[in-house]
Amino acid sequence: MNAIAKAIDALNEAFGRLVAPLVAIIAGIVVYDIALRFFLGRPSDWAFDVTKMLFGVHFMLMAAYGLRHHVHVEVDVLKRLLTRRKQAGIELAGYLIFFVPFIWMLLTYGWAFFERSFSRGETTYGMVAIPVYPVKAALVLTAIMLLLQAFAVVIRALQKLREEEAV
Amino acid sequence: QAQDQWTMTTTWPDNLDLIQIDRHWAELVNKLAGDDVKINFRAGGTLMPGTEVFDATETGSIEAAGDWPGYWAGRSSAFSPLATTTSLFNGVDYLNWINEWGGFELYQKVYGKYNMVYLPYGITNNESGFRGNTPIESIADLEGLRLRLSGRDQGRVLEELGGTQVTLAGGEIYQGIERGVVDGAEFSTPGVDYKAGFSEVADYWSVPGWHQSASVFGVMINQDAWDALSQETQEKLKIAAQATMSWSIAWSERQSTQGTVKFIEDGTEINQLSDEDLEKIQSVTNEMIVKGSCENPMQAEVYHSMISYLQNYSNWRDLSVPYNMSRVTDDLPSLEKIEDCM
Amino acid sequence: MSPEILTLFMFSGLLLGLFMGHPLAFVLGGVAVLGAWLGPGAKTLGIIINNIYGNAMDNYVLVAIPLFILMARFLNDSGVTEKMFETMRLLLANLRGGLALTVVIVSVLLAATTGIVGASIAVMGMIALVPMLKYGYNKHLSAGVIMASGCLGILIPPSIMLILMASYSPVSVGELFAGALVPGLMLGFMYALYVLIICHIKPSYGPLVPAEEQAEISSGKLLKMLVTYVLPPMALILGVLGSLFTGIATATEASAIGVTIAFLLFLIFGDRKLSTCYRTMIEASKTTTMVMLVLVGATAFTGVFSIGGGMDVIHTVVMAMPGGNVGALILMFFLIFILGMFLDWTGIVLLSFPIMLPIIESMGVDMLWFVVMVAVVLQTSFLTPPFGYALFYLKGVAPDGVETLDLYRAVVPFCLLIVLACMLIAFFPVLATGLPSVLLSR
Ligand code: NA
Ligand code: NA
Repeated sequence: MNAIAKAIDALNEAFGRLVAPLVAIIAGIVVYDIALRFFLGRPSDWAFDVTKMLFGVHFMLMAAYGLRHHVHVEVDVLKRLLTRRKQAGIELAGYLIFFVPFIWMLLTYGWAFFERSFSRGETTYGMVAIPVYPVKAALVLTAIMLLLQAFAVVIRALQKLREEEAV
Repeated sequence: QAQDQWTMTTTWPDNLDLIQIDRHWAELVNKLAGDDVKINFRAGGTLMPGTEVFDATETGSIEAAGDWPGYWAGRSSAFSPLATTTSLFNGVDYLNWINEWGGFELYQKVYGKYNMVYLPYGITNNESGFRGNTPIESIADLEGLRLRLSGRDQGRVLEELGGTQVTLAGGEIYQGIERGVVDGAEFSTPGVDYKAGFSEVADYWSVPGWHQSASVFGVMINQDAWDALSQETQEKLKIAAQATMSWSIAWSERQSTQGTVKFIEDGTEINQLSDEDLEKIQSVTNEMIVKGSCENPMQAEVYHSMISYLQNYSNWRDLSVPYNMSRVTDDLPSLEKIEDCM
Repeated sequence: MSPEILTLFMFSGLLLGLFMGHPLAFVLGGVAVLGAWLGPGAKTLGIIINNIYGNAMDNYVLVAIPLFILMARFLNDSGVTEKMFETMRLLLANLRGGLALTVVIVSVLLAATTGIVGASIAVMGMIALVPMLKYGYNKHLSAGVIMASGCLGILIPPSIMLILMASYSPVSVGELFAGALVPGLMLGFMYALYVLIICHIKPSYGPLVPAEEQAEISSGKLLKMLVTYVLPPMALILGVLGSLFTGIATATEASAIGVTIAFLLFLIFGDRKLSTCYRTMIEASKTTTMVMLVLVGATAFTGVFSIGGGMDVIHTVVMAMPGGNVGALILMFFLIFILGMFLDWTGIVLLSFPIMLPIIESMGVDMLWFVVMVAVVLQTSFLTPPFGYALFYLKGVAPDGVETLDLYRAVVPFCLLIVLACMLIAFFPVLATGLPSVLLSR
């Protein structure tokens, strides 16, 4: 079980490190567009759509990496007062009540959302037609990566429960 | 009899006047068919962003949503001529075409691919044209200008004429003109433009609004929700759409008149493009329409139907000059060329 | 499920999830899914995806958020903050409470260069708290002034919070930046004044730095430090706010200009290592996903809440307040203050704006004034326990002997100052609306 959790950690670690530099690429594109406007008087006709799309892809695909590194906002004042065993129990309950329905919705409805876009070759409607479905695919991929990372969290919580029992 | 509850929204937020058309229809339906179906109308942006109402209606998350078909042109370019034309149809042309020359059926055919029924219920006539602080007296003046303009087809024509298309959200146009981010901008009809405060920042106004010679608005209805209605109720919804449509033309033309008077009172200088310039725009547009039609058979079908209408109607229309609703018909795009590539 | 019961269900679900310590984003999203099921019906589940995609992923205005975060990171890596602090400390050395005053001034300068909260709290916590305690400064004053001034980063423009607020209201980013500038600076001024007054009344709160430390530096050298380390942040302020207020750039473009300048500062003053650069991108990405994922959950929550009729329920409750418009306004600000104890600003803006702005519209209250007021009230949200970023950030770097309870006590006078600032802006709305009307001919 522990090996699975470790493998998931490694996967999301690598994935997050791969995606993170997108933030610099976004900045670069905006700067490039400003420069075009200032020096050539003519903005690019793709920068607006592309920066927006990369932004949407970037923060979503970073979500699982964020979960792995505990960056997502939570209120743990009460939780910290409990025993480790109770903490693990309440963590499992939280994932069951809130995370499971949310991720189920993201996966199923997100997939249908992506599929509608992909099957029709949906594009942006600027001067340049850029396909939209990759961004919608990122939504589904985010759900999958989050589900994996949550699985690792749950494995560890279960182990904590069992360890405490053994003690 | 059980009463259906419908949730309806629109692409327009509360502070944009176009929402009046959606509201007019929803209220009319509630009056005419309130026993069978009750429409709970929510302003745009309150349930979801305006860009998502198409998807939400298609899937049945909501039963209906008001729109301007042009927003969906990224899904199929055929939506573009269903929404507006570049120097082709005027408002009455849309009215004629939708009701008697097969237009209504084409709306069903295009929206039907997305599990929706479409009731066109709003027509506004010619849009204002460009406003800004650079006079545009002829198309020669367009050379090198940066102009806010929406729509891919419209952008193609502008770039052909020497201008540069700039994308600005509606809310950014005022400051865009004021600070010279753009040399000029089109937004909507004179009534809507005046309410947006453009007379405060733009000294010049170039007419006519060739980029959008008339516009259509309507309601997307989820197919399953529509099928669940009795035939009688469906009929009532269509009647409400008809009534809203004729009201909308008169309403919007009156608003445009009032807006124009106010722009003139505020000292806006109006420049009218010459007939030669409009001919040039027409020929560029005609090429653009043929090119676009050859890229998408569905768009070709729509344009084919529209131009066939104009040709057919011209038999009578040309005899009734000068009482012919001002459309000349000797300068249309080539139907043969479109047929060649269909 | 009736709209009233749905309202109760969704908010008690939110509270339950919060206190269970589950990540806020998933609590909001989970409650949205359960609420859609039980309230307006499973067929409305699809609008959750529509809201997540349309409001969060497909939103050009928000592109400025990761860029402002990246800018703050590069500025941090350049080490300019520490040098700036050192310079100001020496400059104010022979003033009672000088160190605390230094914290306020440096934080305000930083606030005008970065758009996030916490950028200066962690740094100040590390470089200022220990010397303050060493020189015998009052523990509560020291911690309080670091936390409160550190939060100004998100009130004084640029600010990712103001960008989000503009995106969810009819006010533009430029207007809101201009509107929040005076209240933000005023709050900084009030903190400074408070430091001076309290150290005057109770000299033991902010003792003088020992004379031998004061003498260690010449005024010529000080002037040079001032030019070297205080001017670069000024360039950043000029580049970002200047380009925005003169209208040559949109907020997103201004944020990219800011990244470029901050990157240059990193090249000039920082360690210039590629590995530092890469770590910066990782850290900026972490903060971005933290902010944006709460937005994802919150937009799912409000979408369902809205289609289930919850907005109408809240509208009725607020309008039933005695005291007319004033009563309703006070209730709304109070609600935001209470929400601020438990939620972060992203969640609060997304939950409150769709509910409150239509009410404000119907009351005929100036929208810009209201949004600025909310921004000022939200300053307390970073300071009030149990959930406050400032508390977390400072606790993370505070030395032994500074306990959580000390931090709770430390924020009290500063929260009162924020309330005082709110009252000033309420009685003199020109504080919020004056600058925008001058700058943007609004
Ligand atoms: Na700031
Ligand atoms: Na708080």
